[in-house]
Amino acid sequence: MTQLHDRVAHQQVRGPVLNRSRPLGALALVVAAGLLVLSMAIALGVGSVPVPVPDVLAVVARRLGLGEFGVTVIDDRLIWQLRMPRVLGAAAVGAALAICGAVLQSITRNDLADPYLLGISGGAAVGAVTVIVLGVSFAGLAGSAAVGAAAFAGALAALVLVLALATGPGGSLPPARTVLAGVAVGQACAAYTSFLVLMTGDSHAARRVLTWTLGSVAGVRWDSAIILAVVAVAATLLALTAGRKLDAFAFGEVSATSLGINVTRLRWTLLCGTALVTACVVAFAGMIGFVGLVVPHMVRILTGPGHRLLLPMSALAGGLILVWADLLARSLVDGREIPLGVVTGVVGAPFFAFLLRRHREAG
Amino acid sequence: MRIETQSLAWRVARRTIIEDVDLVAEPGTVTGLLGVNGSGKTTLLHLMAGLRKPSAGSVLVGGQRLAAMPATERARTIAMVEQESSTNLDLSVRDVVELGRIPHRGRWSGSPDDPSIIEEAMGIAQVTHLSARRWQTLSGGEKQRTQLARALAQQPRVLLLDEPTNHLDLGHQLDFLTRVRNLGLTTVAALHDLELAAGFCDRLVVLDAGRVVAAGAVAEVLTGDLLRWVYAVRASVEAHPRNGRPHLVWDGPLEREEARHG
Repeated sequence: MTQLHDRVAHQQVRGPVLNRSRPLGALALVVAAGLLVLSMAIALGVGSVPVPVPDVLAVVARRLGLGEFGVTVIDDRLIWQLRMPRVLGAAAVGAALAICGAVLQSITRNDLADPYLLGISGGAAVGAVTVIVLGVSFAGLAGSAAVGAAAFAGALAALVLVLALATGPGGSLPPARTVLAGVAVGQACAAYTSFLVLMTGDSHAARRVLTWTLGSVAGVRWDSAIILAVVAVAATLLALTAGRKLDAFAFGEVSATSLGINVTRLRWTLLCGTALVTACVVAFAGMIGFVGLVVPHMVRILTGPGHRLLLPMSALAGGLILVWADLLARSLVDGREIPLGVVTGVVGAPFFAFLLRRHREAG
Repeated sequence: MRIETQSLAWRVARRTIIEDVDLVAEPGTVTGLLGVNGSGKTTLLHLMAGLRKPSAGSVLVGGQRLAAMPATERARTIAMVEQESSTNLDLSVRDVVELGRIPHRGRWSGSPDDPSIIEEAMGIAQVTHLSARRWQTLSGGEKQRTQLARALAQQPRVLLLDEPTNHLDLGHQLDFLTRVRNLGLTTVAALHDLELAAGFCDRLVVLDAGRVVAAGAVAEVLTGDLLRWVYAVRASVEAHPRNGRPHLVWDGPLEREEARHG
């Protein structure tokens, strides 16, 4: 009896820390944003030539027009021209993937939903592998730019195919069928890419394909970093405007409709929106697993399921985690890069196992 | 606010679920929706809540066509409590009640009087003391009262309830329906228990295979003939000696054929 009572009392207080208090939530956002900026400063200092954080901040402050600081030409070139695009790109990619994952998990009511859900990964791979293996140029581009453009085009083609397969009567987009269509298209794409790599590619091409599949922000230059940053900020703002509507899905689609949500329209907007954002990310950074899947779950433990806090926190946490993952990827082994997808997988998989245990105990 | 349906129909894959239903619920009254399982009660409620598009006919709320009403205005006018509701999210009772404010929220924030409305709704539904409890730890009755509080937080003019007393014991059934009755909202409730329906409703509407077979005041509708026809039971309805309410005395089941033609 006492045990039962204890159990009930325990369950009463259990729950996300930041769920109730709005000032606490705002404070958490400020802290997360501060941590992200600090982490980026640290990451900018790390490399073959280490630069202390104060010097890093001086370079960035001067470039942002905050005043003249004693900055050496070499530091400026190293920090601003070489490392900044990569660090900014990592933060933007992490934020974009995490926010897409959070939105997709809510709208499909599926804990396993990730940004590559709608055939994005398969389609992008078809484009990228075709260019890598056959060595063709794409859209007048060559090299890694051609791979990125082809991946983007492939992702969009796969998205169109998935939507065509999944659309039901009256333009509805039932989540279960959408996920299945994504799996079907993904399998077909995988068959094509495996065939191409094994039958026609040499070992060098196979290696490049594997590297691309594991993702990297090593190739991000200033122009792509700016595009990625704009995409990440736009995705976060758009997702925030849909936040209250996503809250309405807590008890499913009928309940969302009765709360005044146009379910079909919202689903189309968000599925297509997140797919476009993910396709952009894939074009510049390849496929980076686990961030979009795991980060929203991590954040939910802290913030609870309310989207007003969950979405911006996911974006910040995603950025934070990817900045550190990329830092590890380029600094753990001297002179060689560990693929980013390997690092996120090593960190993400144990966390996912922890989540499973937590679910089992709660259920 | 008055809600009515005019020649309402809903068909799916050539099967008729609701056909030619005319129903009127006057402002402030409680209308009971009766019928056997699968007679179309839930579908009719969904049509009246604007959750499904009618195949034919229309729903009028306060004289306005529901189909022409913007979704958020519809959600501020009509609130529905489903027969069962489930979520895999870790929500507190208060979180669930706050969902009812969604139709009133702007794009970015809540309206300033939200907390008082939420607390009032929780008070009426008697879930204030459960505020911090997690949804997954609630009993059936507590879940139902939480959903009622959520519906009230929508500040609706019309309340639609789908078998709201299904999982409740007798005491909680009486408590829940008394609470709903005292709200003074136009209420339409699908009910299984005929005695409860007789005790709490102003009017009854009986569905059979998607059509209305009887409608009117409780005493007019609830008769031995109707029970025999709709529920296939041999029974009589008598005024209870103490409070005068219709009281069912049943003798046993009938074969369907016998009930309709015997």
